[in-house]
Amino acid sequence: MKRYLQYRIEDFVWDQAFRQWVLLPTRETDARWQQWLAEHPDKVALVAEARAMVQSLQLRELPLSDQEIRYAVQRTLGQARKQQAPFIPDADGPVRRLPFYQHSWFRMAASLILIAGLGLWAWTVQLPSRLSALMRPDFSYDQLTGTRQPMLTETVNRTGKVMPVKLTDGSLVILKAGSRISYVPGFRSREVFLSGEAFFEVTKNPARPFLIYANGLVTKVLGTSFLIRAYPKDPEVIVEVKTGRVAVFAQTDPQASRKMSDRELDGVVLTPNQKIVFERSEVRLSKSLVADPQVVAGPAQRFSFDDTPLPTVFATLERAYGVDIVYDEELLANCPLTAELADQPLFEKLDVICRVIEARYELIDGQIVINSRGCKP
Amino acid sequence: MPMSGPYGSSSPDRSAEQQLWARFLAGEEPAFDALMTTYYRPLFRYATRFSRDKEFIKDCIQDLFLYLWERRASLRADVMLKPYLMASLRRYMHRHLPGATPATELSDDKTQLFDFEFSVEEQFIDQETTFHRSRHMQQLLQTLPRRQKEVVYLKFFQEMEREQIAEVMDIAPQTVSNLLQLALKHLRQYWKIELLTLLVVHFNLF
Repeated sequence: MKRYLQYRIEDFVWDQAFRQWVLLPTRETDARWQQWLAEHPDKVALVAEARAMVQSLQLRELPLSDQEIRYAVQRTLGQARKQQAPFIPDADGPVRRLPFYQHSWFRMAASLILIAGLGLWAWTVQLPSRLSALMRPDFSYDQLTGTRQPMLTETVNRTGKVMPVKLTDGSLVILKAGSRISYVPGFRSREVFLSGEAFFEVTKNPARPFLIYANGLVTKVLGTSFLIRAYPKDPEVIVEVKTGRVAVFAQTDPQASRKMSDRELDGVVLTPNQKIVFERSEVRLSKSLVADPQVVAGPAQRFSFDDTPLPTVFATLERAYGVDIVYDEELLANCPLTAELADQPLFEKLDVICRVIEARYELIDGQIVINSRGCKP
Repeated sequence: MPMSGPYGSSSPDRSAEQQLWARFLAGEEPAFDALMTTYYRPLFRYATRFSRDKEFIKDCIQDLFLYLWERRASLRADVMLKPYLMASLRRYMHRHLPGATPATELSDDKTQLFDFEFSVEEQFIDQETTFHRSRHMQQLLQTLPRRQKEVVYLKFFQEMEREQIAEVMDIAPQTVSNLLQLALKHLRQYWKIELLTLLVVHFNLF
């Protein structure tokens, strides 16, 4: 490490070993550098500054959470399974004499039969789905808005940026680029049709529920903020709740009209940091947590724990993020946690806690479930 | 900092990497899962140089893995995985970027697609002078010619070796070294000039 004695700040910044210690320290590199600094106290300030420079110089990134990665990988795996071609054996080995099935007349006849068979199969197999497609009501944006009388007012965001839209009841819609909403002129009924993606901040009015129609999913709110993603080509609709509570149900729900007019929130109720995925083709709703749960409003939390029993830790997290954490209280009652968890997102906090108690967590139906065998004696 | 900081995705060692790739080629789904999970973040970060459209990038990464999975019978086993994936993603994205035509494919010299944006994250800085210095370094990086910038990015922000960078950029390893030397020379040279002007400015002010 002799060469470092001559180093100026810019040399440190572009030294790979130095960068590695700053960005991905290991026990060995850390020990080595700490020792070097102890031997050269005159370099401490210089190294500290170079360190700050290396840490602060970053590439401007788009945010990407671990949850998003997990979700993307799972989705791709699902696609890969669907594509999985049936097993086709390799070409035959060496041929001495043509067996009957390799003569051209046989092949031709066989392919004719195959084609006819495939056609018949395709016809019979696809018929039910075609029929059901014909019979299934179409809840697409164009269909819903095109047939409304009187004509609806439409706002289309062609700006290429997000666009705030203020509705006459005081509610705010932040419309993503390329998305559109429609509503009754003057917004006399609190109903919005959405194609694309938008964030809603709905003013409170329990007497007049606010309804959003998006690709067959109805979202009903009394006053809250949340995001809906419903692009025409997407196979699913996603609703993510930031504050308050919303109810969602499929437009095909036999009790949809009652659920819409009720003053209660029926259907699947979402609370902050929960999200729902609505599979359009299967009319199925599944609840989970948003990718990066945010602290819901309330007194500021410090998330610094000192010998704190785990049930208290989990209660703090539950309150702060408005999520449910399910665990065996008896098993974890005597496990203490000492950790400083102020700056990480929720899922990283959980990673740290789970590493400490050698547990795993799963997301089941919008809840966090801790699997643990208790802490070590 | 926790494991998944912005630089938390160091590549696994070579033999583990080769094993994973071999299992992927053999059609093992867990290997597919592990491979995609391991390389998702570095690929995503690399891809943000070609597009700022998050959903488009995600689609491209998904399509890339599906494509590899489909062709796994005909893919080479002895590849340097990370650069191989990055180069494939780069080709795929160039072909599918809005406005791309077969003619613009790969000729990013003309299309100027490679767009870096360095930033200074203030939460790491507690001194005014450090902030100014970081800003100067950031501006210097910004003035580097495009290919030098890419080498610096791959070397220092994706922690890649010379041979890997050569593979990603499709140039000779020696060219990588040359570009890197030029870039570092540029950074050091102008760093001193900037520092001098900084001092002058300070003296004028106070």
